Amino acid sequence: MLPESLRAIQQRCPVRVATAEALVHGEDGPRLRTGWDEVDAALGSGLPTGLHEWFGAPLEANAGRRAAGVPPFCILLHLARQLLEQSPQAGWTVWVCDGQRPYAPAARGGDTNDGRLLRRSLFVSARDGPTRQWIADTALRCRAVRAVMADGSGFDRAATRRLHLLARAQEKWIWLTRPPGERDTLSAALTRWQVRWHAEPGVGGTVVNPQWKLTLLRCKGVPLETIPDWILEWDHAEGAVRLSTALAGAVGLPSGAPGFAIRRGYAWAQRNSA
Amino acid sequence: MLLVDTARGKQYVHDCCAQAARVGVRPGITLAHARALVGRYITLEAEHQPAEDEKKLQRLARWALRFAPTVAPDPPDGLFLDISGCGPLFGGEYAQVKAIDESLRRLGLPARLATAPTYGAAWALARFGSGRVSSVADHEVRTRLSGLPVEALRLDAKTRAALAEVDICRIGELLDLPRDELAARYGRELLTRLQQALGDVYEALEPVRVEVPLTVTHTFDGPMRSARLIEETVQALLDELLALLAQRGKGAYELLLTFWRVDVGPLREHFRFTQATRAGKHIWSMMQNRLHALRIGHGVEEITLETVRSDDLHSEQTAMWGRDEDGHADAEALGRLVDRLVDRLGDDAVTALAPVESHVPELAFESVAPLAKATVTAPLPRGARRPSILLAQPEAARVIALFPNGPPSWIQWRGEGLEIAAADGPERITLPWWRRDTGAARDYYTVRDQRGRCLWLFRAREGCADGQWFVQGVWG
Repeated sequence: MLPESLRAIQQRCPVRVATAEALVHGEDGPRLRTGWDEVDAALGSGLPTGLHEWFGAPLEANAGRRAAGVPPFCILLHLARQLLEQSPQAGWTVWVCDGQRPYAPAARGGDTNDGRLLRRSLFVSARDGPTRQWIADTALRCRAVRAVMADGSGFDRAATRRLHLLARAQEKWIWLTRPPGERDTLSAALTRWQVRWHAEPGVGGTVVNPQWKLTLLRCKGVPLETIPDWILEWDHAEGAVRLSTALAGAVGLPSGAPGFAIRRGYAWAQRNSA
Repeated sequence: MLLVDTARGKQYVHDCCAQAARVGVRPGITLAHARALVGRYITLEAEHQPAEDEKKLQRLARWALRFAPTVAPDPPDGLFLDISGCGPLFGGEYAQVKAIDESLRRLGLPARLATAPTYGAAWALARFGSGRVSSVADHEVRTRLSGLPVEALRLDAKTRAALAEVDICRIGELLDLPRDELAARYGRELLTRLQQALGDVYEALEPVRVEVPLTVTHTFDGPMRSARLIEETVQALLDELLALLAQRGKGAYELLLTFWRVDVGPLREHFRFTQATRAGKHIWSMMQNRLHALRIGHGVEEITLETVRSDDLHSEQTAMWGRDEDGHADAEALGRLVDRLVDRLGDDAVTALAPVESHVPELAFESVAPLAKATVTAPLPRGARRPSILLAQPEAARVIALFPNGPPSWIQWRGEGLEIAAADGPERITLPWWRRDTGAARDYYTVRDQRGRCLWLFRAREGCADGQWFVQGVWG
């Protein structure tokens, strides 16, 4: 009786749960290529559909654990733009914010951008967590929406699991920005990322390109001990985030470089032996 | 009062009040010239907005429907009223015209009125006739038009200039000429206008249409308190209304559901939609949410469902087969999403952003209704660096620069003092005169501090906050 009931439920809700193998080999649903070759390679072939969490850095150095982090909008705008470029159908991006939303000129893009992302973005404000969760849930069910970016402060494991399963079923992406103090909170996110300010020692002058250190905190199916931190850099002209070439040798290598292949090989060996 | 047009960087007078006209101001002269003419008088200058004028004229035309069944706006400043057969309702044609005149005066719109057998003749006499209110009988049209200038025929500037070249100034002079030659020499328009004024050819109007709301009602035998039956009745009314809309090829933008209660006043629920729709499932899902929280008191006697706003909604084939390339279905789905969000969170909570032609960072964009088509495409200055987060208000910061007017080298902000590792700028943005609370101009710098934070800050110039520094944005 029970197996039959379970089969019936599975048929009614065909949710595909990502296995570690499927996640890394990129066989499970569509992928979003981030435009950062190394990151894409580490994840298989890009970000899979589902829930991904981003922890921004606090603005003040002496902020407590409960301080809200600065949402990494530059990175999220870059990902949303990548999604628009890669989708055959131009979908909409819904930004669910608690007061803070991306500044429109940054959302519009740099000199070479046509502002398509801004034209296909919807901004929804909501103060409390349950309302934000409802908005994200409703938006994910809309066929015109391809991605949802939401302020995920205070979301518990049940909420994240619900959103993740829905996003997987609908083959969409949901990115939650969370304060750094919630790193220990249980979550069903497929990947968790930490974004910190990065200051290159000894580099000054008149060229200011914002840089961030990107750390993969969790990724189902990927051994984190072999994953380096990446340095990302904001490209003002294109309104995009690039892997910092200056530091590629230290913490990341461009794709195709021999070192990368060796490192990947080592990663697989370790995972298989484990 | 001066109404000003801006074209190619210059400001011209579009129109002016009678007092300004008395001192020599006339449409077409430059604003500087007009200011010199009005001199010591206090003047009010306003930007001419043709779209607003058109909207107001449409509104006035709808208002004028109380005097005639057919009213057509005649932009920029006229109305045509077809008063045929309406005279007896007002006690005669003269009394009707008087009533219109008095009503317009009460609205603060003194107008010139003319009644004539043709629209063309009425137009000519209202604008070029001798009296403020004039009337022409059928047999007088030719005579009365003869003395009027050719401008009274609604001709374009080219034809008027061509007639002026051969010294034809009055309509009477045109009437003496053979008509076949008129068309050959001055174009078809002149002949048509002349014939329209004389009533030789028919002239069609584009009248304003007043939307008659579609209403469906259900009256109960007695006070109804059963939530289930009320729900079923509303659903039946909705089906009925949607069928009526489908018959007329329309979709609803706004619906009004009224519950006439026994003991207290009626309860009204408005439902607004982003796009015209007759998707029953979607409308019903929105109604259901409200019905669950309905306060029916001692019972409902009658339920009315009506359209407040509707628009044409024809079935359109958007693709032969396969995928919908235009994203028509996507737009519809998004419209439904917006409706649901707005219904629960309110209009202000769901927005899109549209560019505005302003270099001032906090004015560069505005929140607009979702799915509204952008009317302005304001480019960013080339190479401009804009942060990903703009602070709600510029926040004061203490900054040390190594030399006067130089880039910052140390900053104290939000209780933390840090050395600046790199600074890029300045980008000077001059503020409009009505927003100079933090100075007349701002020198913006993009800086990176020791911690790696990238901030967007500016130094205010020439004002009460001259030399003060403010942080306005962050790259997050």
